Amino acid sequence: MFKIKPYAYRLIKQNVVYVAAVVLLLILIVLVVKIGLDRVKQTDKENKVLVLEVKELQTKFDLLNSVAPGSSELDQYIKLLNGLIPDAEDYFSIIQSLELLSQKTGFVVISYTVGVNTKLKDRFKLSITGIGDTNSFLSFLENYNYGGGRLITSDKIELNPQLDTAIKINLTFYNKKIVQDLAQDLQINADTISEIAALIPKVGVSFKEEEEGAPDFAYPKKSNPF
Amino acid sequence: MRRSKINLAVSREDYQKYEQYFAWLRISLFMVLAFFLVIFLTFFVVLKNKYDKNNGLRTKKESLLVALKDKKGDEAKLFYLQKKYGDLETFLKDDAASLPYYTLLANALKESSESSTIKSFAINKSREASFTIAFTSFSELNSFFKFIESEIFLKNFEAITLKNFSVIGAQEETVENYEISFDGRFKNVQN
Repeated sequence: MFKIKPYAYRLIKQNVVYVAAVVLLLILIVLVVKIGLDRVKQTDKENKVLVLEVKELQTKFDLLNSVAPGSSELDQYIKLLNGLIPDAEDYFSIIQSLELLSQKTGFVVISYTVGVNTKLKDRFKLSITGIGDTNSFLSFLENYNYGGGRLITSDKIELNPQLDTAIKINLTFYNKKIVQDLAQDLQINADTISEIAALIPKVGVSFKEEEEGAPDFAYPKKSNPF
Repeated sequence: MRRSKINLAVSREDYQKYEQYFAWLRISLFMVLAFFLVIFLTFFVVLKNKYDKNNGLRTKKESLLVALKDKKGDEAKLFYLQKKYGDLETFLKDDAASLPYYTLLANALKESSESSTIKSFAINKSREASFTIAFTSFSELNSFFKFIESEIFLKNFEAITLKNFSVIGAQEETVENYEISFDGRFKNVQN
């Protein structure tokens, strides 16, 4: 059996504090390294998330405070786009936009034909027949996208500039209801806002006149009718 | 029987050896202590910097959130505009956008001859077009053939093929009318 020599035992007894201190320090070093590394990883992870969040918020803040126009202009743009693409189909505005286009371009729409299965999701297809000279037809082609106050497209156009006969064109009108989702990224930028602003002269609608003529709802109201 | 004496003469070398070990142990204690302090201080400084940085970001985030709170209405409007304009751009892809391409062709023809006219022009949303060009003299037609092989004309198209060539009305009107039909695909001039 192993037996500690007396002098060794005395030496251990004399140095027991040092032995314990070394062991304790080694344990502390291991703990400090482990806890320290875990904390570093955790703070790095938090830092990445915070940097992204602050970056997104800063972009949003800059956009709202420097790039985006005022609240009234935003209302104007929304009104403009809602006119071009209403939330639900509005047949009256289709006829109104075609009449407006006829007035603007001189290309007179003489008949509309609605075929079977022309009302698809988000869109309404219509075939029109119009008469006019080459210049009025070219003017119609220049203006039909926005000029009537509704977004209109035509997936195929046929021109016969030398013929002054009635021309048939297939047009598509659009409608779509927007579902607000604030969780998605705000990616709109100054260029997009400029593009939207550039639509105003193309549509040719004066919002200021409409605002002036709009009824004033700011009269005093009673909350309790009794 | 209990031993009360130690024979130092016999164990002297061993004792010195153990004594040396314990001397090293005492020295190593200070080294380990120094090492512990270095590690502890390093982690302390590194973590303090990281915590300060994160706290700074949290403060900034809070201040931005407070500043944005007043702009919630405008933010919602911008989201709405973003979606609505996105839809508009998507829907516009269904448009043939004929006029820019018609103008492009008309301008290109003006450079080749004065008498050439576009008799018909059709284009779809994929920019696939077919058009017929008419001429009243053979010399004009001849110069046009040279023109269609030039870069000025070809630069407007991704692909173009001659579909048909015909001579019309030579007998009735005592003037020769020539017509050339093409099928092709324009290069995108939008944006």
